[in-house]
Amino acid sequence: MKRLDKGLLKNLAPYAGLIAITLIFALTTGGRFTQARNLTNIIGQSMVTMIAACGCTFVMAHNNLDFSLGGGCALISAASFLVTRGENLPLTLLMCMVFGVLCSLVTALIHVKGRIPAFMAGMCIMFVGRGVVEGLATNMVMNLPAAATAYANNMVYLAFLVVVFALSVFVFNYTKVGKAQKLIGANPRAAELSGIAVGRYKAIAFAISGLTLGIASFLTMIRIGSVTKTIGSGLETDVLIALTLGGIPLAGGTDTRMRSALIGSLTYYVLGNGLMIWGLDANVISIVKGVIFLATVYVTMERREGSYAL
Amino acid sequence: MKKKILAILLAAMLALGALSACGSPATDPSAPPSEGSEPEAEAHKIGVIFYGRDDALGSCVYEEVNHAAEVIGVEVEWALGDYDTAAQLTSAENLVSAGCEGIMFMPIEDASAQRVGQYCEENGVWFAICFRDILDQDIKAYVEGCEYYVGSCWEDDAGAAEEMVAVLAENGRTTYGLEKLNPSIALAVRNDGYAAGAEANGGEIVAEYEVPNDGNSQTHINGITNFLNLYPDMDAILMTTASQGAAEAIMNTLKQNTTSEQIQVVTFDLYEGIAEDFESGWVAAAAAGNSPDALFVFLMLANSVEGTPLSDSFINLSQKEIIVTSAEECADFEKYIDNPDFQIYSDDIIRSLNGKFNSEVSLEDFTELMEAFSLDWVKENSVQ
Repeated sequence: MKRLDKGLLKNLAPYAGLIAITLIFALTTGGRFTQARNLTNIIGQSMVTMIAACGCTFVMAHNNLDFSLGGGCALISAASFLVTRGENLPLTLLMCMVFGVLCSLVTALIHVKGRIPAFMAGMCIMFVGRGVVEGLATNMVMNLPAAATAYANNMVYLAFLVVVFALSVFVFNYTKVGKAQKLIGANPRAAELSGIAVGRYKAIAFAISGLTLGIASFLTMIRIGSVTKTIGSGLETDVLIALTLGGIPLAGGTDTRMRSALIGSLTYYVLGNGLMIWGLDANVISIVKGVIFLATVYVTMERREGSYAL
Repeated sequence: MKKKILAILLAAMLALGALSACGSPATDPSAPPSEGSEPEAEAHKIGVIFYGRDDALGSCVYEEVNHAAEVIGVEVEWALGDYDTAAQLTSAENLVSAGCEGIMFMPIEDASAQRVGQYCEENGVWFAICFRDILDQDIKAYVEGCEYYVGSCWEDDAGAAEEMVAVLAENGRTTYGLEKLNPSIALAVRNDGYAAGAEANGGEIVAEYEVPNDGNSQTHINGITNFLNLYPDMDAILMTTASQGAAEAIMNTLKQNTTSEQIQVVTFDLYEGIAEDFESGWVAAAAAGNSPDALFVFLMLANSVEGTPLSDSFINLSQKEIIVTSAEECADFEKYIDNPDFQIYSDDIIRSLNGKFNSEVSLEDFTELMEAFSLDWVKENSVQ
């Protein structure tokens, strides 16, 4: 019973957190937080992170981190722009998805074949991507046609999110690909001994993460109307914090839930929005986010008996 | 375990509640009007998107704008710390949601000017740009075509750079190393100004290194060390920025490896210890003092928000920079201009630039004041 309560509380914590901060902001901002336009903005702002987080959940489920997201977003956007010049949006989207998968497969290749920790491989992509795009942005203007930004509206974003989330839930919960990620996260040795091709399934997880990153990159491109040297800045930390706030187990495994991507992203943007309405300094906002992030990790982290920090 | 969870949740909620009380008075939506304030209809609200308020420029801008808002009875809401287009757009959305009828911002890049401008235009919100010109001509044309675009202000950085090279030339220094800004950013006109100044004064830029995006001090140290090792005839460094620790890295490297007889420096922005460096001959000139830029843009925007626009079209203002050339001027500068506790313009002047208090306010009133801006003018007109 005690174990059941513990699990239940852990599952409820992300919802409770979201409800608590929503209530606090609703009650302390003189009604500004709950204005329809503000709530619509929050949802709109969080959807790119939600989409990227859906793919990233596959990677975190097998106990890895994808640190390539920000630099990858920059690289994917620039590469797609060079192919299409942003003039054909469906083709640009397709290119973003293709380059997203390629980008993440490079990370997977370095990790699986090179036996290098995935977060280090991801950081390589992050630095390379950022460097390439900064160089490109210095020498050329990568503006999308003005009409492109007309598609940067909540309905378009919502359509993408619904499709991505539904497919992610299906693949994660009802196919061998998703189940394998959780098994690898729970115990990679046992997974290997039971016949699961660990390396291959890890690569598939990265490919899925790359696919959603490609979509997120496309949506970011049309949101800002350009490929700039700062595009995608901080996306990796946004996604990681969002997933953590959403209650994802940091060690992956069978408790990983796709809903973390939605709950966590929403919590993250509600926090940012509410703190800004309060009029806090950027530095204080960062500190508050840090405290809440730490509290969430403390509550949701799975601790094994006898374990200690290294 | 339950108790721990509850304790953490409670602590987080209490921390949030406590921090809410720390909000700036200028932005507290529930704050009652101060005693003695004029009874007015609901104050108009303007949002400001700015990079921060921790450095000298940021703190001056923050205080000047808040003070002016209080004087003319406008509410200000700040969004600080955005360093990319998406973040600035997000802040614009949040500020408009929060009821701001005007947005003043310093675009982090041209795309930001376009997207924030587009968002404001679509939502019928006035917007104005401070401290930046738009380099991309397509984006500039778009922004200038917006009905709700009030205008912008930027500094004559190129002119200031040329002027500082002339000071070096007067000192007999004509062989320069350039701390170069990335050509894709708006401030890169400083590179061009230095180049033009060198040409006009018979000098030559013999080497350059690029300012790192992440402010890495080691890049500055390596760049300056290379200058000293590879170009023994170099007699001056042209600094495009002193911020993010650049000045400290450059000056310390110079002091450890050469003398002020060999190398002199000119720089944009002041830094801690620059007065001593003027005295010991390391620094020949420094260009700074551009914080009123944001004040004038804010007042211009407030006029549009309040229904008394200065013009039917957009306005481009130009903020003069002050060239400091001695330790004495440096001291005056730090006292009168680079001082967030000192208001450069009196309350009367600020009111005179607002249509609510002066129905005859005109664009000429703004330009005359901006033209007159100098260290001597500020000292003479100081009322504090």
